[in-house]
Amino acid sequence: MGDSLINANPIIYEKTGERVLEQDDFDDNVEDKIDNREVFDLIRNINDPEHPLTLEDLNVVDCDNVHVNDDENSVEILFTPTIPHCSMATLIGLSIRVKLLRSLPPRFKVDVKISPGTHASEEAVNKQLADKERVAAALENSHLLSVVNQCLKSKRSSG
Amino acid sequence: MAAPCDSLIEDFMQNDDGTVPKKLSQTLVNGKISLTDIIENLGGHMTNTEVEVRKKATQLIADILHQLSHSFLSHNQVSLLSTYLCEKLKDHAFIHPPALYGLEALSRCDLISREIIELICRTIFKEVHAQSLPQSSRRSVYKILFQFLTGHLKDVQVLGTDFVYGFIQCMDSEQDPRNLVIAFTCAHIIIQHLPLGVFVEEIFEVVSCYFPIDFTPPSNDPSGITQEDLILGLRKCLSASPKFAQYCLPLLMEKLTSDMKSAKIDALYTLASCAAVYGSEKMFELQMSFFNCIKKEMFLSGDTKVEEAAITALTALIKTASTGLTQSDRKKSLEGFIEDILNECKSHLLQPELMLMKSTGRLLQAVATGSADACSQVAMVTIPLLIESYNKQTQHTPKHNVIIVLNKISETIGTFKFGNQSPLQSMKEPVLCIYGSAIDIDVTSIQVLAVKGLYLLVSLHNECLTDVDKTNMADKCLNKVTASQCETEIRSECNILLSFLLSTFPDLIQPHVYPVLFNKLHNDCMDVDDKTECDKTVILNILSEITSGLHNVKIVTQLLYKLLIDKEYLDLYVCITECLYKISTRCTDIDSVLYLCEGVKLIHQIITTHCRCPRWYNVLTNTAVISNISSFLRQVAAHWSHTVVNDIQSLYTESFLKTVSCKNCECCSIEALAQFQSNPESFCPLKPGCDCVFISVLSPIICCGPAKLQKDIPNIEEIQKYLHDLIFEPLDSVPYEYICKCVAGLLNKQEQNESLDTLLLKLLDNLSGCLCEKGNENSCYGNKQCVAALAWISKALIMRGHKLSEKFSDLLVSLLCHQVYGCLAADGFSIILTDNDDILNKSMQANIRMMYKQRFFLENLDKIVHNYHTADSDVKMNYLSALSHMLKNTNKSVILPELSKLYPLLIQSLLSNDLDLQLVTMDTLTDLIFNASNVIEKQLDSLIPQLLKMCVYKQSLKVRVSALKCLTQLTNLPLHKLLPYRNKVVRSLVPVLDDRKRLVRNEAVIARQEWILMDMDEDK
Repeated sequence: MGDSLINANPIIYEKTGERVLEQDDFDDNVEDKIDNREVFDLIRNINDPEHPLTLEDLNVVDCDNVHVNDDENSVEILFTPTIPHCSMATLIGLSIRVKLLRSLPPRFKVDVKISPGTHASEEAVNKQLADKERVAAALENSHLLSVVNQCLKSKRSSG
Repeated sequence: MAAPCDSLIEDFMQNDDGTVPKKLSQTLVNGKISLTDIIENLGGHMTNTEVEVRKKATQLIADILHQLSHSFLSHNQVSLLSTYLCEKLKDHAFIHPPALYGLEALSRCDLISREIIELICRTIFKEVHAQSLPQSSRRSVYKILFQFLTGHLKDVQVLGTDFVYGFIQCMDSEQDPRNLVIAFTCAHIIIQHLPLGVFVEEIFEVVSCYFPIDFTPPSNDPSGITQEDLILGLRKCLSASPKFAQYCLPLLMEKLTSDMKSAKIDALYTLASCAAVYGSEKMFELQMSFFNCIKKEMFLSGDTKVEEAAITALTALIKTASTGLTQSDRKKSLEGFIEDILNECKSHLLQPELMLMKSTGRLLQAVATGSADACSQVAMVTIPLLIESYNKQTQHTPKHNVIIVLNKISETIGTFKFGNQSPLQSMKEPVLCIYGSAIDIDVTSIQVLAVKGLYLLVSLHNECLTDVDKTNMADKCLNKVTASQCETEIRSECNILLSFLLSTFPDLIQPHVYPVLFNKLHNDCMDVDDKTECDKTVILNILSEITSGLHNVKIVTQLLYKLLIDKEYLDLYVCITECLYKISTRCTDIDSVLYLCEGVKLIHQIITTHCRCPRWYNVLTNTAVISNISSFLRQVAAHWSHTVVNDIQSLYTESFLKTVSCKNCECCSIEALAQFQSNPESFCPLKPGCDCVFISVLSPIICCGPAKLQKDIPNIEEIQKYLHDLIFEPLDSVPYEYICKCVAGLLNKQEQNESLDTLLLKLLDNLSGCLCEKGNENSCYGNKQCVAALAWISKALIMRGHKLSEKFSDLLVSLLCHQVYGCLAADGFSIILTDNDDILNKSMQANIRMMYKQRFFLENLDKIVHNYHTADSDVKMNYLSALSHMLKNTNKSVILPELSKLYPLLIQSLLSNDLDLQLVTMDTLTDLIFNASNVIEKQLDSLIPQLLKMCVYKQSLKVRVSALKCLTQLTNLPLHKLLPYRNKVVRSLVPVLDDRKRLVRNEAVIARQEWILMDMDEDK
């Protein structure tokens, strides 16, 4: 597998710190809205399909490209493949989608797209990711599902 | 005599009476019958035409032999019986198991001769077909051989390759883990101590075919053999002899490229063990190929366990290559090897912004750890590259990465002693320069790394830094820590470095540090409006962190003592006392403790003379101050020398007993003096009133010493009498607790005699009188507190295992059903079982009986469970919370056997309305899932629905979070138990994803993810 890596030695970016907890977070009477940072925290630790790194390490996702509107039930995520020809782009997008499918309340409408101008086949990938039925069909494929789960597995449970 | 023997044998032969062997062996040992009697009586059965009968007779002999001690049989008897049983091996195969079992007993006899050993071995190898025997008999064979190999190795060696060949035949295709553990041990001894001759490859094959071991012990496995046992056993065999190199290394190479994670890890560790034994010559050819495999794992696996194994293997390879250095022509081997490695890594070091930089750093560290030569070579090449790399970069992240690697190399250099040849010597300037510039980069993590790097440099053996370098370092750190906006992480790192510099080079560094800090303390803050200066509390904090070593302690404590008596510094009292306490934790030598004793006397003086000035009184009785002072006293009392003990103790006890008149206060208003109404002019802490709070200061002084010296403390009896009276006085809860602790501390160590028993019975009488009397609402205030006193006294006695302790704890248990005292009694269980920092612990030399908590748990559990079931519903809660305190503080291994009894109560606790109880119960459950999964497994039906209900418990987010954590923990149970609940859990958690609190949502996401992903393959 060593020879077939698409990007053998990618650039590493600095991680954002953990969210700082505030007094309100522990107050039963205050309602916390779902915000950009919270959704970013959901996806930043997704594992990259080919490196032992997270999507945040590689700057594939960053907090500025996560847009959440709790009141209007909408989430939009733009992600940036490490290189414009990255063949993993669809898989990464799918992983983000599945993670949010499992972690967000069903009232949200989620859009996962490639940041404009960062990938050669941007449109095709976006179309695939937006097609609910294709996403559902992809997850019927047990091999694909296990690859996605591999990306979503937290470091904690992999011991 | 023959008659009973005869009938016993018949009993065995006819009725299968299992007690016969034991009875017969006893009569043998008593000398009532002889071995010949038994054999003669058995004669008919031994030659019977029925195989079944012969087998049974042989079994009887074997069973008897197993009952005898190693030294019972004489030389002749051993020989005779061995020869006889060997003959039996030539009989029908049906008789082999009992014959082997008998031989197993004989092989342990002390008086076994070389000839007999040879006979037994040869007969087994010739007659026994191990593969067709049952497991227990194969085990007998291995045990016999193991016995000979460990007890009579010389005799076995005579057999030479015959033994080796015989063993190979026996062990071939063994499958049972219980047998393999013994077989591997035998093989290890054989490989190391017997001539293998032409069988090197055969014996390698016979053991290596198990590699890598993949074994999951069945649940409830009584043998207790783990995968780890087998792996280590096999690894020892594979690394037993350099002769295996040619076969083993290719095998390891193959497994290293395997896809199985566990196989890779095993192969890497085995490689590490083998390299050490095989030696540099055997490893030379393949070392570069191994390196390439290891490199791949370190760069790509991303798994910490694999990486750890890879690092171990690489270090072992280098270590082995380094041992080749004694032969001059081999010098090439290590140097060449490392050169090749460095060539592969150099380019990564020059691209510190990329992923492989850090892995490369770890890899080079593993190489350098191999030997001093390796370390030196790696350092010489990499440090210049790192310097170049650092200077070329403008971005922060790459610089950060460079320093990480640089620190790893420095750290490794520090593990070797280089004398004057330190590889850093020639590069010291640029390295210092890097750290110096990095410390000023405005990124916390980089600054922290730079300070750590400086620490590594200055703590190197023979550090080759000049005085100017060191003082520069100190100045730089000092500037950092005293700056107001310094991050805590950086400050603590700088403090570590300063502390090291100060204690290692006191004369050089002191003049640079203390005057600056002292100046800032004395400066009048009022008119300084400079925001860059930090305040005095920070300075005191720094002092407390960096001061250690006799000389430094002296300087700083002198200053602190001055501040303590200075009215101007009353506002800083919390910090000053804290600083004093923290410094005292680092003083254990007699001389520094002497300086601290001055402080002990000073504190006494301050309390007794200033406590009638309201300003001073309020500061001195501030909870934080009094706790700091007590901690300081405790610390000194734990280390003071016997020469000062008596002085200080009588100083304190006398002034506590006698009414000391205090200076009249001149600075405060008359109104403020009202708080001293009971004793306006004198200090009298042993009478109910405002001074009782100072008993907290007395406790460390009189409760610290060894038990046998307690009676020598001046005035101790009188003090104790006063304390016992105070228990029954209505006081504020804080001073009341101080009194209870002091009483408990003394009772715990008081000499056992009649007067102690009388004293205790009187206390018990008073307490039960006070607690059991009916009605009278007014007296309740004082009485309520007595429950705490009861708990503390019980604790003191339970800890020492006093015979009267049960009377006290029974009283406490009986109070659980009381309407008013019940919940306080439940808290008493927490008092009894929680460890205290201030009293009844090791450093106070308390009288602690082993496992007192476990005993207490077992002695009271049944009472509580039983009383719970019979109690009225409105007090049932008290039992549950007492139970929860017990569970929280008792060792899990004691709880587990009782769990089936407890489980229903735990579920009741979950259903209760008491928030704290629910939380504690869920914590306990979370623990138990780890430790007692088999009990929890059976209860999922009741547990999971309850937890799911609690995930949406409106009132408290804490309950929701705990319930979700508990659900997450459950995924550690065996998959097949969980699968039936999976859909329900995953579905039920959907609404929780929309909880109004973020903390709950986070836990819900984790729990749901774990339940969805729980069937994912662990390996790969």
